Amino acid sequence: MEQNQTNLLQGTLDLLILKAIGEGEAHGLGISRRIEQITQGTFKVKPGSLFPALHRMEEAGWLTSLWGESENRRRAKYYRRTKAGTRQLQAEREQWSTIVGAMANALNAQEA
Amino acid sequence: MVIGSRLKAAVLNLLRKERVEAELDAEIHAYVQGVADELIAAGVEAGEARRRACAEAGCVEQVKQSVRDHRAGAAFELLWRDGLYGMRQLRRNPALAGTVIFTLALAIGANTTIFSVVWRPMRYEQANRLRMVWETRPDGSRSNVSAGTYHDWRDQNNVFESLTAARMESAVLSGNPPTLVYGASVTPKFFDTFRLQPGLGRFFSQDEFTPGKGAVAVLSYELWKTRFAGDRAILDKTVALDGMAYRVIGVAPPDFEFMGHEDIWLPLALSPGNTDRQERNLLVVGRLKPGVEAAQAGEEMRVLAERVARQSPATNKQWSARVQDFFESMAGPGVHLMFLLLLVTVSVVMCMACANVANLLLARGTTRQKEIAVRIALGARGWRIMRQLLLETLLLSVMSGGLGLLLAFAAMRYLATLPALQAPGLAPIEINCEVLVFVALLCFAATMLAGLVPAWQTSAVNPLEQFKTAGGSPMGDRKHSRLRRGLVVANLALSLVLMATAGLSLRGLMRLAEADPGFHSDGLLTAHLSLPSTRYGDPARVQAFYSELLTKVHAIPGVQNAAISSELPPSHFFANQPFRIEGINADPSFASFAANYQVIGGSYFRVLGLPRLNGRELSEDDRHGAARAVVVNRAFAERFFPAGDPLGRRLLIAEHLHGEGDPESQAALEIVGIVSDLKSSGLMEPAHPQIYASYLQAPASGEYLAVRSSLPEQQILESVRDALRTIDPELPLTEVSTMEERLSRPMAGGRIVVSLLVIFAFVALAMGSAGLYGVISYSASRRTAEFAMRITLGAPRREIFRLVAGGALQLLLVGGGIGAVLAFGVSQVLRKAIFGVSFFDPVVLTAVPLALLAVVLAASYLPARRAMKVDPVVALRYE
Repeated sequence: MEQNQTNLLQGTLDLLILKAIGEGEAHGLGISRRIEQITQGTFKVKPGSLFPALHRMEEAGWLTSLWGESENRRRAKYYRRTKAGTRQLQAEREQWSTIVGAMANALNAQEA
Repeated sequence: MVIGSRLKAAVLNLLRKERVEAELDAEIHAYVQGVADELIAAGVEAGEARRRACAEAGCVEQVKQSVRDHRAGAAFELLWRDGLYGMRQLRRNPALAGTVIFTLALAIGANTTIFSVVWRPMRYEQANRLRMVWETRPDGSRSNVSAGTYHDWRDQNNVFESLTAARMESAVLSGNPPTLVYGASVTPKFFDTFRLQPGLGRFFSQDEFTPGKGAVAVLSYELWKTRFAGDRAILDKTVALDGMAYRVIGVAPPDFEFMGHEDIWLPLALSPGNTDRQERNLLVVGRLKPGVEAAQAGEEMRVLAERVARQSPATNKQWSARVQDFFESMAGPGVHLMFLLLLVTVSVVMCMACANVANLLLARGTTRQKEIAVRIALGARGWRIMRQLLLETLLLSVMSGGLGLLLAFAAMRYLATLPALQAPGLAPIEINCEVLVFVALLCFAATMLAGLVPAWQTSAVNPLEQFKTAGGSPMGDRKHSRLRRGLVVANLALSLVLMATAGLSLRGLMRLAEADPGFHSDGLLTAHLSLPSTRYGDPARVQAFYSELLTKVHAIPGVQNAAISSELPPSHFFANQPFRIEGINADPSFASFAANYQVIGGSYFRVLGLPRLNGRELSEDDRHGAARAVVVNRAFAERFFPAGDPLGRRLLIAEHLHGEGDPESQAALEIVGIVSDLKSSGLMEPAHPQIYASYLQAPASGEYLAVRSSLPEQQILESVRDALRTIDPELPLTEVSTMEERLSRPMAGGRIVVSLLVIFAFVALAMGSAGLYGVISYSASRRTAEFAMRITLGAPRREIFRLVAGGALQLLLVGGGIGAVLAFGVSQVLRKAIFGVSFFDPVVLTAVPLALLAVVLAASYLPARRAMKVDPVVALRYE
């Protein structure tokens, strides 16, 4: 499903990142791997889209970052959700459900 | 909230650029390292793991750039980089940048200057609701208002929130030295009408308007500052005016003027029963009620004036009323039109500058097509290039704006010193917030006007076409050249219009200056004297004073003639004296005539050089006790004695105004002489009927002194001052000037406006010809190969010259034709503002086209010569 990554809607990527970070902290590679895992390999987020999104979301105030040490004792930048980020996740989740519901209804409707 | 957060991030990104970059680098490398670590853990050899990690992450630099592009403030950074690129482009072509900046700066400077002169608010609150109300004479000219009529208007109108009156006064303020001060007596609510608060103390209270309690004064802020050093203890102190004590109760706010430079304000006690309609000496000013239209007020006042005219036909038959905008009353009619003319002119100059700059940018666009084509081929989008080009124009216009502001500043410094551009209540000429906003708007407008079309045209390049042909795309070239020729034609047309406007205005002004005033104005020194009624209450004392003064001045060596007169030309104030003529309308049931009544002494007619037409002049023998004699002018004779001879006829005048005899008594004045006319009120109006009486038979208090001599003015002036000092050391001599100065003063405003129009016309001409030169030389250079071919095939070289110059002439003919039509329209409007303007003025009609033709030939001569001298071998080698 390689081409899906280019088709990732921006909103979807934000939603996935916010979800992947969860309540804790995660660095770039961790987030990337976590997204791959929770979507069961459907989405692989490459650094070329991951990092611009992380920086944009941090600048928007949804994420905050701090430097820490990775499992391999390397310096890494960790991201954490802010309160605004949690609110944003909630909002985007609802929006997504609406779209999914609407699309499901549309596709299930009887064809004229 | 998101916006705030992003804004903060943008600022931080800019301020800590290096740190942000370093962290980004570390972050991405940590990612790659992490992937490599995973691979090594999975058993891949270290070097191979690094290679594969790099491959998975993609190019590190690309990732970093992608982050940078999404960062807050990235757009700004991009703009900054575009700006730097633009600056480099401009530096590469300094001649072009210089031309553009100079052209736009001239236009922006001109517009800013005129804007700052014209767009000056009145200092009073809601000044556009203030109106002056005048009585109008049967001939339609405006007059001050009588107390009776004022009372009727004030009580009966429904359109003014308040209608107040003022009487202009002058008095000698005691002290060392004694000074003549000007001021006004005002009715209650006068200051309220202007919505003023006192600068210190208070304004007049109601009971101070009752007769006997009015010995109180409000000082002007300026008098308080200069004469009393801004001393706050001035309140309740007394000042002496014409020897009478007045208690100071307040100081007016700074800069408050009514008719101009009043020093002092007094309460005007008009008894409510005052129904006098003869003495018209009040200036009436009112504030319109909210929602009342100017036209409605005018209509109502006319109706009220008609009512008064019906009730008092003796004094008001055929008199009416006029409501006039306060500013217009102060600055004169025509001023609005003149301001409008200036505004339109500078706007046209601005448009021409933009057209020229657009032309230059279009030309540069064609030479830059290669560069643009390369950028497009490398993936730049059209709008991105357009933005880049617009940004370059914006840079140019901002620089022009700065330079233009400097030019405007210098011009305004000069214009602010000209008294003709000042009017009472008008804010000073200065650079303020509005002016700066205006400059910014101009810069933006210039960018859009001059930059949009070239940017659009230039960015619409087809790279394929560009790379295929060597010399640029011929298709786009034709479209460009049509546009550019259109702009040049428009500029030529507009410069013709501006030159015609300036030329016609200049001719009007010259005619005004050359107009014969009816007397000899050279070598005349004039000054004004006013005798305080406290010391000169007795008419005999006044006569003695003037007799002595005339004798002493006459005795000064070098003085040829000396005279006194209650008025000197040019004067807009008429001492309008109603009178009847024995045997014509002597019965009081007839309406009275009116003429200007002037009290003279000494050899007045000889001083002014007014020829006597018939009868005799007034002499020393026409004194108190002798039969009263007057001299009239030709206009008087023609108007009131169209058929007969006025000599020996007697005029009946009610002279109670002058405090002599009882109000009902009439003096009989015999006409003993007729003199020629002089134009006393403005040089363009017909002569006014005049009655001249001797100061020995008619009371006078304030008189002008006119001295004719061959000596330098300063020397005479000193001798006159010495003579005056020996008679009365307390009397100030005011309004000292030469007659030439007096005559030219009313024209000063017109002269400034016309000078500006002429300057702008030359600027326009320069712009028109520069644009033409640009287009002609450019198109000639593009046609070099064609010319070379023609020469090779045997065309004579002057044929080439003719081709190029003919092209220029063609543009001139089209532009000139359009311009002539426009100029004709403008001249029709000008007729209303300037005396005697006609489109078919022979001088303007020949000079302007010739000037334009000369400039066009000059602008096409160089390119044509260059084209003629083309060396076919050299030119064709490049093809």
